[in-house]
Amino acid sequence: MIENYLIHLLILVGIYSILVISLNLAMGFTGLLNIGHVAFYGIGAYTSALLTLNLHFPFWIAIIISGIIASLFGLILAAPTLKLKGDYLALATLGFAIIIESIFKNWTSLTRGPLGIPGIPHPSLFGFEFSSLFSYLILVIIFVLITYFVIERLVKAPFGNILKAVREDEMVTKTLGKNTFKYKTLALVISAFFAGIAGSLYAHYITFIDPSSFSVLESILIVSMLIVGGTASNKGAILGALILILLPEPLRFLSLPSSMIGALRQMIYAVLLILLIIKRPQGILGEFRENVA
Amino acid sequence: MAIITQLLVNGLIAGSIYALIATGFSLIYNVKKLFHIAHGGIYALSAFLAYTFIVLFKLNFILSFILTLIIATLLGVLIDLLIYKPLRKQKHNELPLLLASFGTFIFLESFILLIFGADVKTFNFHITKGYEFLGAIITKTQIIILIVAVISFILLQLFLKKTTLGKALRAVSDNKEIASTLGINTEKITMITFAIGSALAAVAGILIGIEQNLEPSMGFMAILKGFTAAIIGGLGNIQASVLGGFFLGIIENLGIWFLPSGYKDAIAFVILILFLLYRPYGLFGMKTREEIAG
Amino acid sequence: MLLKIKNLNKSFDGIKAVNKCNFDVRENSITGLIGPNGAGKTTIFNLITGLTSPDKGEIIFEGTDITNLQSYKISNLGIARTFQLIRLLPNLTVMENLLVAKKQSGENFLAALFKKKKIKEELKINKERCLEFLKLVGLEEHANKLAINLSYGQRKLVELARCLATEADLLLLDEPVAGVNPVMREKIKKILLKLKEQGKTILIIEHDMKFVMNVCETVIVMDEGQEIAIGNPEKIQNNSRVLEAYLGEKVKI
Repeated sequence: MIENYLIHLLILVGIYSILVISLNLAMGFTGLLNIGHVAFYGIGAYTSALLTLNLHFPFWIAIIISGIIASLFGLILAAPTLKLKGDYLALATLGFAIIIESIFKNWTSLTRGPLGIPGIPHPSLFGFEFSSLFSYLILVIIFVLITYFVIERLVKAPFGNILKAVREDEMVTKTLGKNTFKYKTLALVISAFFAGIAGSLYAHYITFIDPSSFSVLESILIVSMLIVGGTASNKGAILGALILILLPEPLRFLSLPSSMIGALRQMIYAVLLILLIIKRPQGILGEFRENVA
Repeated sequence: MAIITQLLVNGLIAGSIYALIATGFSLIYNVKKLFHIAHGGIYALSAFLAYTFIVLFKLNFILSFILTLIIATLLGVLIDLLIYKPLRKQKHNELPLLLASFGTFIFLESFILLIFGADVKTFNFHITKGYEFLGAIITKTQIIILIVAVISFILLQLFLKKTTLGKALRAVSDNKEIASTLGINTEKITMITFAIGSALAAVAGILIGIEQNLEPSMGFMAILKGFTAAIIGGLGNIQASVLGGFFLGIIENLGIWFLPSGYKDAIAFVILILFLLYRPYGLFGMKTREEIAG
Repeated sequence: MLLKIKNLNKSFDGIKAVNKCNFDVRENSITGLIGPNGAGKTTIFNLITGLTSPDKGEIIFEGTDITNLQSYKISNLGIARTFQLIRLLPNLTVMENLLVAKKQSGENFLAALFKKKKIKEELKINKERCLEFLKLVGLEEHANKLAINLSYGQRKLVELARCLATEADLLLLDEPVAGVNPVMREKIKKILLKLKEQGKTILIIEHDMKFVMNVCETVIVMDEGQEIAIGNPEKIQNNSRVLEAYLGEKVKI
C-alpha cells in the first residue's frame, strides 16, 4: 500500500520536474518572469485529453501535438508581451493564465467547464497498457530524462549563453549583435512545449482533468519549486519539485479535515517561499544571483 | 434602457470596491515602487474579521468596523516590516519582492481557509428595500457602499493635499532621496503609507461583506482587479485609480450584456493586457512608456 | 568616410540633447569626441548604436543608412561599443562575457540540439580567440572568474576586450580610461594604437584631455548638442569657442 503511495508521489514529482525545468529555461536562464506558466500546462492537458477522447488519437501522437499547441500559445503570449519589463511582464503573464483558466471554465461545449473531462485513456504501446502505477512511473521518468537532457544541452551551448546574457543585461546583448527578442521568444516557446508535455502526462495519469488543477495558485507553486530548488539549475528544478511535493506529506498523518490539510499545506508553501526569498534567494542549487541595482 | 441603467448602477457599486482597493494599492506602489499583492489578503481578512465581530461576537456594526480597521492597518504595517523591509535591504530586483508578496497573500488566504473553513459566510443583514432610480433598483446597502467609498476618497484627498504628513508622503513618492535630504523620515512615511493603504483595503472588505457573501478566495480576484484598475487609471496617480476602479466596474458589468457572465473576470484581464501593451501608463498616468516597455 | 552624422536631432522630454549635429569619422582613424558634461556625446553613441532613434537626421555607416536600424543589426554591420558605466554581465564569467560577442552556429537552438560535435569544436576555437583578446589586456588568468568578482580596473579592461572580441570595424569607446591608473592608461593607449594598425576605426569619448590629445589625430568638440569645432588636437586646444564651452566664459587668446 505504502509503496503505491510513494510511487504516486514520485510520478507527481516527475511531472512537476518537467514543469519546473521548462519554466527554468524561460525564467531562470532567460530572466522572463513568467508566473503564468500553468496556462501551458493546462493547454497541454486539455489538448491531449480531447485528442485522445474525441478524435481517438493514440497517446504518443497526442502528447507531441499537445506540446506543439502549448508552444503555439507560447508564441501568442510572447509576441505582444515580451517588450514589457520586469514586473509588468509578470502581470501580463498572470493575466494570460487567468484568461486561459477562464476559457477552460466557460467554453463548456469544448471543455465541459467545471465538470471537467473524465475517462482519459491510459497510454498504450503495442497492446501494452500503461495502467499500473509502476509502468506509468517509468513512462514519466523517461520524459523527465528527455526534458532534462534537451534543456541541458540547449543551456550548455552558445544558445544558452545568450539566454543568460539576455537575463543579465538585454541592452548590452543587443549591442553585441544578438536579436534578443528572438531568443526570448524561443525560450518561452520551448518552455511552453515541455509544459504542454507535462500536461499531457498529467491528464493520462489522473484520467480526469478540470480547470481547478490549472489555477494561478498552481502557477505560484511551480514558481516556488523553482525558487526553492535554485534558479538556472536543472538539477535544482528537480530538487525543488521533490521538496515541495514531499514536504507537506506528513500533514496527512494529522487527523484533520481535508480542507484544513489543504490550507496548512498552502501555508507551508507560502512560509517556505518567503523564508527562502529572504534568506537564500538563489535557492538551494542555484547560481548566485546578485542583482546589480 | 432600464437594463443599461441597472448595469451602470451595478458597475458603480463594483467600481467603488475596485477603486478603494486600487487606491490603496496605488498609494503603496507610489511610495515603495512595489506591487503589493498581499493587499488582497488584507482585504479578504478584513471581511472575515468584520464577519467575526458582527456575527460571531455580535458587536454592533460601527464597533466592528473600527476594530477591523485597526487590526487591518496594523497587519499591513507588520507585513512591510517583517517581509518587505528585509528584502529592501538586500537590494533585489522586482521578482523576489513580487513573489514574497504573493507568498504573503497565499499565507493570508490559507489562514482564512484554515480558521473559517471553505463555506461561504454572510453578515446576515436583512435584505433592505431598493429605491428606484432611472429605471434601475439600488438598495440601501448599495447606497451606503457608494457613500462610504466616496467619503474615503475625499478624506484621502484632503490628507494628501492639506496635511503636512500627506505632503511629505507625496514628496517621498516623487523622489525619495530628495525627500529624505529635506528631513522627511522615509521609514515613518512608509509605515503610514501601508497603514492608510491597508485601511482602504479594510474598508473595501467590510463594504463588500454588507453586499455579498464571503469566501476565502475572494482576495485574489479583488486584488487582481484592483491593480488592473490602478493600471487603467495610470500608476503614479491616486485620483486616477479611483477613476480606473469605476471604469473597470462599469465596463465589466456592461460587458456581461454581450458575453456569457462566466467570462466577467476575464474581461478585466483582457483590459489589463490591452492597457499594458498599448497604453501602459494608463489613462492619466505619469510613468513614461520606456519605463514599462523597453 | 566610414561614419557620417548628418543633421542629427534628438530631444528627451522637450530638452534637446542633440541639436543639428554634423560630423564625419574617417576610416582607420582614432577620433576623439569631447565636450562638457551634457554636450550630447553619449547620446550620439546611443543614436549610432540604435539604442534610441533620432527625431531628425541620418547616420550613414560604410555607405549604409543605419539611422533607424535595430541595435543588433547595427552591431552585426560592424559597430561595437563600450559603456561609460561598465556594463558587464555580472553573473557570467569573463570568458562567457566575451563569448557573447562571437557569432557561432551554436546560437541556433536546432544546431544546439543536433550538432553537438560541430558546436564543441567551434566553441573551442572561439574560446581560444577570446583568450587572445584577454591576453591583449593582460587578463587571461581571470577567464573563469565571475565578472562581479573583478576590480574596477579589471572590469574596464574586460569591457574593452569584449568590445574587441566582436571584431567590429568601428569601435565606440565611452570613457575608456576614466578612473584608470596611469600604468593602465598607457596600456590602453598602446592597445588603441595597435588596433589602428590592424585597420580599425575608433571613436572615443573622453574627459582626460591629455589622453585625447596624445592618442587622437582628429578631435570633435561638442557643446549643447552640436559640434562646435573639428580639427587636429593642436587646433582644438587653441580654439576660443572650445575654451568658452568648457570654461563658460569668453576667453581672450
